[in-house]
Amino acid sequence: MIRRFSPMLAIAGRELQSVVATPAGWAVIGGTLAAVLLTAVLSAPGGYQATSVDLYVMLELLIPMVGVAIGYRGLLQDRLSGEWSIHRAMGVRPSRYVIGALTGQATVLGLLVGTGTAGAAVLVWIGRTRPLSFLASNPAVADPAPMLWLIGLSVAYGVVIAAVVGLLSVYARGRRSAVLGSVVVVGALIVGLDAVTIATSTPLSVMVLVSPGAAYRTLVLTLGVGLTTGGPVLLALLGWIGWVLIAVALSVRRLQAMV
Amino acid sequence: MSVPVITADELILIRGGRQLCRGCTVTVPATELTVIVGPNGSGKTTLLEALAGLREPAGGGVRQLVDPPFGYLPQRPSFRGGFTVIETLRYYRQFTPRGRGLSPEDVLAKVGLTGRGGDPVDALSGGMTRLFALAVALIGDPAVLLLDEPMSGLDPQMRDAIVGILRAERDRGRAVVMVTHALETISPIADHVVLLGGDSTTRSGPLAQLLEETDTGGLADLYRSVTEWDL
Repeated sequence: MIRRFSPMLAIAGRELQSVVATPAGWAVIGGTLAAVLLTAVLSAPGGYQATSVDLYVMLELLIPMVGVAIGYRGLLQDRLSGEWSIHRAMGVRPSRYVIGALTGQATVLGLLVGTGTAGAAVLVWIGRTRPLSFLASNPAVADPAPMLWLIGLSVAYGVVIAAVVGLLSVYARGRRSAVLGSVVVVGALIVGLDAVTIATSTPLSVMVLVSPGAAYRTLVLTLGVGLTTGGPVLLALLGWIGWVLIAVALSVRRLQAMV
Repeated sequence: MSVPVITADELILIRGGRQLCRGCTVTVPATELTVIVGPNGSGKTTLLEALAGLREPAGGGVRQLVDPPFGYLPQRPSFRGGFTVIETLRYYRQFTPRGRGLSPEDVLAKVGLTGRGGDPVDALSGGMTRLFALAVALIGDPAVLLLDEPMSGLDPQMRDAIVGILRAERDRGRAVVMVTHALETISPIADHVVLLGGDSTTRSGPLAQLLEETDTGGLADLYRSVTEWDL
């Protein structure tokens, strides 16, 4: 069993190391943490719930951006350099390779977002002794549960984005097309699908199925912040699972057919 | 001929919409050094990729009679930046079955890169990168080595070093398959030849037998005769 997973773990570890091995990777790490913490600093006096609301709006866009920055070249680079061929000749299956790379990139995203959001929670905790505002009189303000939900859901959202960016990386012909394709497709996924579904008055249940961003929003607001009730949580989760499965399956299929 | 490790029967290979190999039948023997030769664009790399299991043939089939890992050296190798030579070797060693594989230090010594373990892989010269790619191919101590122009861009000294490595691997019982244009260099140690004609036909067999049949004096002469040859 361990032997079965070890190639995936090796590939995942390499993706992790790839981010911290370059100045560009550190720039992404620093920028992400700075963005999350700055948002937290600005909204921390409002308590956990208000900070969660402020953060999720920003994270819905930040996570795809970071996903593109760290994921656009992973599989592409190996494919163009011949390293994918070396892996395959050594007996690494396309499915393990894709899942390993996805695990590594999602872990990077998760660590970044998780660390940033946990830092934000600490800031809220530090600021808890400030004079109570109107919002702070609400018991929910002192409850860190919304932020824990936000961390978990943000990590899961990162997995979805990493899977989609990985798929684009497998299909891209070069670095430029990988970056452009990722920006266009992920942008369309997050903003475009929302716009279309809103313009066509699509029911929320359909919207969360097709739009990962809408699913993230729904899950955070329903499960995390608790500002809405009765949101289509199951459909949102199904939508995410669908995106991941389809992206992984298409990536594997593409890699099976190519050197 | 020793037992085969890879067989390809009635292969049809297509690349970029062009048929490169029409009904090729190739046998890769264990413990022998097989050289794939032919004019540019005749499909040597495509055939090597098919033998390595990296490319699905349009017709026919490839049977690999030994289990991976295979050592593979791509035509234009490069490696992910941000890692050192030794880190990259350690990474690839993880894909070899437990108890198999060579130590990264031993492999570096084998290809003449002792002392370069701490160098970033993306700082190696073209020739050094090719030597390092050979080290990566060797790290799993594979039963079969598939090498695409391992001597391309190397100086004569490095070429001789690679010939020595390949001879040693063959003598250790490994099957070595290589695409090369360095025919004069490789001729003394080649055992088996696959000739690809420009008209997508193939002929293969022991080098000695082909030389006798064509009345040629060496691999280079044999290659020169390919364009005139009715394969």
